[in-house]
Amino acid sequence: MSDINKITRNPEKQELSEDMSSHDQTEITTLLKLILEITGSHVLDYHPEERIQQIISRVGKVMNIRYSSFLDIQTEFEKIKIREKYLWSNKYGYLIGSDFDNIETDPCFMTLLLQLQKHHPIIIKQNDTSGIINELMRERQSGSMIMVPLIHNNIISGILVFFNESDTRSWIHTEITTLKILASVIETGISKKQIEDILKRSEKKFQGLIDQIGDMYFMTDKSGFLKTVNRSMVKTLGYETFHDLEGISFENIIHPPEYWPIFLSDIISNEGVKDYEIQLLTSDNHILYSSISCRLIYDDEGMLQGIEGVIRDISRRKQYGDLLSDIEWKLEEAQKIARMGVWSYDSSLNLFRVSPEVFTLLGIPAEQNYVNLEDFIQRSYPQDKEKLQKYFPNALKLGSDFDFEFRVSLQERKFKYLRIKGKPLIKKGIKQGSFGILQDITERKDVEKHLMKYATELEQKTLELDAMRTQLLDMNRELDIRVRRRTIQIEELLKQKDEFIQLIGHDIKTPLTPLVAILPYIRKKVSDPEIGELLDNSIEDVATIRKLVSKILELAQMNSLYMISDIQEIAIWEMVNQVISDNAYLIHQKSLEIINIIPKNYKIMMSPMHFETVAGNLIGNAIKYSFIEGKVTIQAQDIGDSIVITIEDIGIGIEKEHITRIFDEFYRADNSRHERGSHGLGLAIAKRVVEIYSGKISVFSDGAGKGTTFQVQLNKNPDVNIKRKSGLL
Amino acid sequence: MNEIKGDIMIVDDDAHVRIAVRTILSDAGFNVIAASSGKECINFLKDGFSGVLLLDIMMPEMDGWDTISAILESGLEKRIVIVMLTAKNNPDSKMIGLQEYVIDYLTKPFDNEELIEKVGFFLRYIPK
Repeated sequence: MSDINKITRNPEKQELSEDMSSHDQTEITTLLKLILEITGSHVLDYHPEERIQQIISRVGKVMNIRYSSFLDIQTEFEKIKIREKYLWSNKYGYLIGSDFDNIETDPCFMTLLLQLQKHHPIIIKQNDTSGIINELMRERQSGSMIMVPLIHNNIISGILVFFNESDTRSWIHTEITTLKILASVIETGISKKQIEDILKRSEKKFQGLIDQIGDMYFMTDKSGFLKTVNRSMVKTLGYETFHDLEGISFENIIHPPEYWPIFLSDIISNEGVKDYEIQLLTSDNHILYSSISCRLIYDDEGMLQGIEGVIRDISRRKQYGDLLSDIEWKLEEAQKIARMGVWSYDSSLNLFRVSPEVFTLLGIPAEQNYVNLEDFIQRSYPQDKEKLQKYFPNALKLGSDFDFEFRVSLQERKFKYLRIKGKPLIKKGIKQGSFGILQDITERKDVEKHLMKYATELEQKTLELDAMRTQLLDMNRELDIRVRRRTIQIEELLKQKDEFIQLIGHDIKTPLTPLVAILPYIRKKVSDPEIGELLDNSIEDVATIRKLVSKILELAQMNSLYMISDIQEIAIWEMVNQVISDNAYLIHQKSLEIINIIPKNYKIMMSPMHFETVAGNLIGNAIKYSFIEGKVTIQAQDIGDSIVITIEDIGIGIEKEHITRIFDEFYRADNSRHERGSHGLGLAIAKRVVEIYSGKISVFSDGAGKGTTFQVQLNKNPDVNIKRKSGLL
Repeated sequence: MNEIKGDIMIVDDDAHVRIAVRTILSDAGFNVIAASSGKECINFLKDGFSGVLLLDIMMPEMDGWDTISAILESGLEKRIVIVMLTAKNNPDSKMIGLQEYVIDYLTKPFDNEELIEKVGFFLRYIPK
């Protein structure tokens, strides 16, 4: 005892305890009474060991917490008379007895106590309280409430609980809590528990059910405070938890709040409402269009308990409704613009439902607010009446697809075209009637009429064009024949021309022969220098004529086929060298430098005579028109399929204005080139030869005195072009 | 049969050509006889002419090629050498098969020197 006394008592707690002690004691008593009340009926229904373990762990906790306060009690031991009270339970935690009610008379307790004394150090006696407490204090150092597991043969047989009647307030509070725990543990009897379970289950079920419906469910108490709501209501109104919404007055969620009394009186006067439209306010102050159905709930005695109801969010429906009416309006306008009406026909009622435009289209007066089959038929144009009468009612009756065009009479024998198009209206597999459109197609008809007219015209035009085409084809054919005939004629003429030239050549050459032969002979015999000079002139003239004639004949021959029969591979370098040596006399006379740098392996397919003609003419020209001590360079370049031969001199050159005509027959560039022995045919001949071989010939000169360059491009393997040329010759 | 004295026979329908050739070749020291047609030429050959025949191709009635054919027909080709005189540069179809009997061609108008040189040259081949 002495060491306990040393512990200082907390004066505050003491104070409090004195104020509250009487009240707390009453509470404890009440509680214990309650426990006792329920004791008798409790039957074990599930694992007792687990329960006991729970109790022990809980109790142990309480004891530990209250340890210091227990010491406090001990210091006040002298002043406050500790009156130990106890109760005890069986091994399942059910209360068996207590000393609140003369426990020593309970035989069970006594037996148990005796058993406990044998095996356990803790001895509990009714009248030896201080001893027990002290012993407990020493042995276990437990707190304000002492719970002792009653163990027999190592098996828990029950729990013994000790209470102290007079202690500080907090101590008592703990006591009460502990008792509550204990009581709750103990009172879990079958019947109540079962009822509770059932209740809980059904409550859960109910909650689940009302949670499942998408609509909001609520229940208020009689003051209009929300008592129960479902998840949907919490969510729709924008609250986070049930707790946030429950307890709020319905007045606070209705908009405007002033409407609440009106709504309430409506409910009360009508014993509830059905599909009543109200506006609800969400947690973030949004208006929610809702439809509410609710009823009043009463208890068994007929007392009003509250309101129960279901609310449906119709804000979306409202939105769609608005949208729909907007669309409807637009559709109506569109129909007006399109001059198209919409109709539906109910076969069972023999009734048309039509959009306003149908009235306008049929010309039905505004005061008539219905349309029937007769309206269609009566208003149709006389010629169409029979057709419409025949098909339209039938189509409606049979519920088949149809598409008619008919005319509707207007004033002054005018009419407009209407088109009615329909489809069967089938609901759930049963024909209910038809529906479709009525459209003014007068404009389209007009356009069609015009188009038809155009089409006819076009057809006429096409026919005319066809005829013209045939004519053209005939003309073309005729022209073709004529051209062919003419070509043959021309060819014939060309041939004749060639032959003529040959003849002319012969006829000129024949008289030339004696002249060429005799004149030099006579010259030799003449000693008179005057006559000798005259003869020399004559000889020179004859030589010129002779050359000219031979060149003309040569040019004419270019058109002859046989000339290219001797195509063979020729070595260019060699042939050019030959041509150079042919001109050796003139080269020597003019002291010219002639350079042939054509690669020796360059070869082309050509008639050697033709090559000689070309090379001879070009090189001859270069020599002829070179100044004294001039230079002529002949080179060649292989460019794949062809070889380009370049003959370059630094002689008299050619003026620009002449360069384009240099290849013309009988064209002489200028007076400097117009000298005896030049006849203006050499280049023309060269060009013709080159062209026979599909080659190219070109000339470059920077002007008078600046030299001339000829370039000849010849195919290595030419596709010989032997077309006749219609030229001078 | 009269012995025909001559080295060269000019056969040409053109009198001026005949005169010119005869003049030039006579001046050069050859014996020249002249025939105005193929027929005359054949007659001279039949008369025993031997030497160089300067035969013009283009002649009326019987041209140079016809004349050669006639010579061959008569077997008179043995003691002559034929040089064709032509104003044409192009050959014609008639020459085919007869070319081998022609030793050379002279194109009218020809140079006197060339004529003299050629005639002298071919004359050496005439079997005596």
